[in-house]
Amino acid sequence: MTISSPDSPILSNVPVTVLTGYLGAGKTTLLNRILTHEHGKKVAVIVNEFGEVGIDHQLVVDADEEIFEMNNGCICCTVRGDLIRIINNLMRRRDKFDHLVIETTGLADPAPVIQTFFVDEAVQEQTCLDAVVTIVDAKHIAQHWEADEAQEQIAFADIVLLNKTDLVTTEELRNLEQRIRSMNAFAKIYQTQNSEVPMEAILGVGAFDLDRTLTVEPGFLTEDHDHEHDEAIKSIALIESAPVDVQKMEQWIGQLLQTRGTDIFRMKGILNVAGSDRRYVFQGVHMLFDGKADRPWKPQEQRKNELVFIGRDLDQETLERSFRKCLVY
Amino acid sequence: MQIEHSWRFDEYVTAIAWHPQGNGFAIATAGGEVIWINEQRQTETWLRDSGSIDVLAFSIDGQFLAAAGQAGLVWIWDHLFAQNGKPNAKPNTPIVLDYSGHWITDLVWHPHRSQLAIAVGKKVQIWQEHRLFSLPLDSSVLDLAWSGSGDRLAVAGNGKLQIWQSDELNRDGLKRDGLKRDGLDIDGLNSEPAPIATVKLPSAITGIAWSPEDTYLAIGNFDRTVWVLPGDAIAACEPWQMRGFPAKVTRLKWSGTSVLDSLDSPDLLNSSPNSPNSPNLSNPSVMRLATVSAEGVVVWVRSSDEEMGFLPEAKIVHKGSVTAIDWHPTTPDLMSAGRDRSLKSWNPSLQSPPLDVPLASQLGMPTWPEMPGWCAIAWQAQGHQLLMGSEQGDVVLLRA
Repeated sequence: MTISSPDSPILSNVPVTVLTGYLGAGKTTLLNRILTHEHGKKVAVIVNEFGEVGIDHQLVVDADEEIFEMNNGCICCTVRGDLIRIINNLMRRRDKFDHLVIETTGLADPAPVIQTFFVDEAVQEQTCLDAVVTIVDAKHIAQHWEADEAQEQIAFADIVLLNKTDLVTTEELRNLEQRIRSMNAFAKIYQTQNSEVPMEAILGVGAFDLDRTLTVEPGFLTEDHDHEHDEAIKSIALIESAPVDVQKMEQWIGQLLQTRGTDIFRMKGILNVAGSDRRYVFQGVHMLFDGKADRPWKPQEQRKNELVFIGRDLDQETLERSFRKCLVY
Repeated sequence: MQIEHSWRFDEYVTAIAWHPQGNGFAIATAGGEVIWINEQRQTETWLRDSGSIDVLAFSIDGQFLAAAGQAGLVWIWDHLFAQNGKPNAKPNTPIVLDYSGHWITDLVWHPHRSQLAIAVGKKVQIWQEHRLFSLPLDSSVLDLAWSGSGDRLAVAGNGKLQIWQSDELNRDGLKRDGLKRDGLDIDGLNSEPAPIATVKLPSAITGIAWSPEDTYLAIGNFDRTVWVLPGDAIAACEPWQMRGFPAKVTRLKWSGTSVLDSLDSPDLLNSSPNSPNSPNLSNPSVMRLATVSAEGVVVWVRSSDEEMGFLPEAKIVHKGSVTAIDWHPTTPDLMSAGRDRSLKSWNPSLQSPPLDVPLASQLGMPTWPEMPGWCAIAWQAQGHQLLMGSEQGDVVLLRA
């Protein structure tokens, strides 16, 4: 009789990539690429349109997008019931795959998918959200631009593939990228054709991992804001070097999430906490908040607070003003 | 407990089921196998490589075995036993119902007749030889349970529970469809049957269980609560609500269920219920409900005070999520297994913390460096043997 090595019971959590984007943006092409690519990962896929993925693969599972509300419609308690069931079943074969990709329909709100990984204990115990990848059709996004779903998919993304770049002019592409950047300050944007992107750029990214540093794309802060697009959804960055008072900060975040949690899609931040030599890092999805003390500040490093909010109808000045009240001068 | 037999299969043991008569049993694996293990402990593979098989159940007369899973197919083997009561050497080719695209994890046989209820997406398919029809629900069907008397079928969904009258599912006015073995949807009823009761709940249901004699219906919920409703007034009463669970309630099991089930089979009628050592399980004061949430099992008993409802009697804590529980059919012992590979046994009369069932080596399996992660536990009807399946593919038969 044999038995797997003694280390095996505590398998590390399976990373999960959420793939969003409109129909025709290139999701299926990317999925097929992920499934056939020799990247050394065995990938299981949950799709919304069975049969679109042209591969006979035992670990392609069809989902039916069912929303469960947990608590009188509280937005952060909204999860995808079908995913909970499928992931629970799939995890019995976790030795057969080491990465999970979930495709959502173009009309899906990404929030319940993401929240499933933070709200459901059984899912949380066995998986970890790796990144939200959104594919944008550079040519046709203009037709969908006004739709909430299109904007939210960009707002929730960690990685944006600006696909079909061959179908638009350089000028159009530059505008589009700026527009996406103004909405989402921390997403990594790749310009692609035919969904061609290095696999390591989209799998194993660890975007929800607090140990990875928040990186606001440098362009976002220095960008010329004169031609700022007037979007309802946008990113707001708060940068202050004075240390924060922990208690005031907790109160502020708590109140902010309580009153504006529905409008704040995602946030990430690094804090310079008064009296602490360690950085404090946090991230959040709607009202779900996750934070911890991180590594010590390096001697040559400039201590500062960097917070990025992505949300709807957020006002830079109001946020700045209220945040400054948490600072210790 | 002594190990009588052990087997090792390739993948996670997803389901185990004792044959209701005799001493054979069937197991299913995430690798898509259905394996019959007979009384001589020889294995026969009835199905292989069929996606993950996640649910397995024998009909009450032991003539049918139904299995289903990832592939969306339901396999029904019939005539498992010959006229002389001996098992047939080889089962017939199974009947196959095709619901491709649905991952099927719930199917239950009627407690008295060979009628099968299957949860398929937003429908319950009711199968009885040569007859198939469906009951609609406006959410996914999340669990199914026939009442012990067989008069009702409870159907759990997202935010609601429906009760269907069993007679209604049997009456002739329903349009019959010839069994289409490859058809997808066999729908259509001349007169639409309607549920006799609907209960609204604030969240999705994780599982339901009727108590012995159908006194209560327990409902486990995603919102970390358990509701208990009186069996004779399901939609007419405020539920008793149990709260304070650390996570969603993943499993529910009433004590004594197996005893009452086994009483239905005539050969067991004389065996035990009135012997002095048996608890009087029909007395509500000793009826227990075990609820599983995250790493703990909480055992509830009915308070003699009507207002109080159910009170927690014990908590059994593992160091990993609890994966399986089963009550002993004739004694008040509860066995529980956790993802931390622990196995615990609790007995209310001992008034002590639950005992750790000894590690594998002490059970006479020195070849195991440590206990496998048990994920399925099932007592044989008389309680003489315990069958367990592991996440690594082990199946072990223990003698009590």
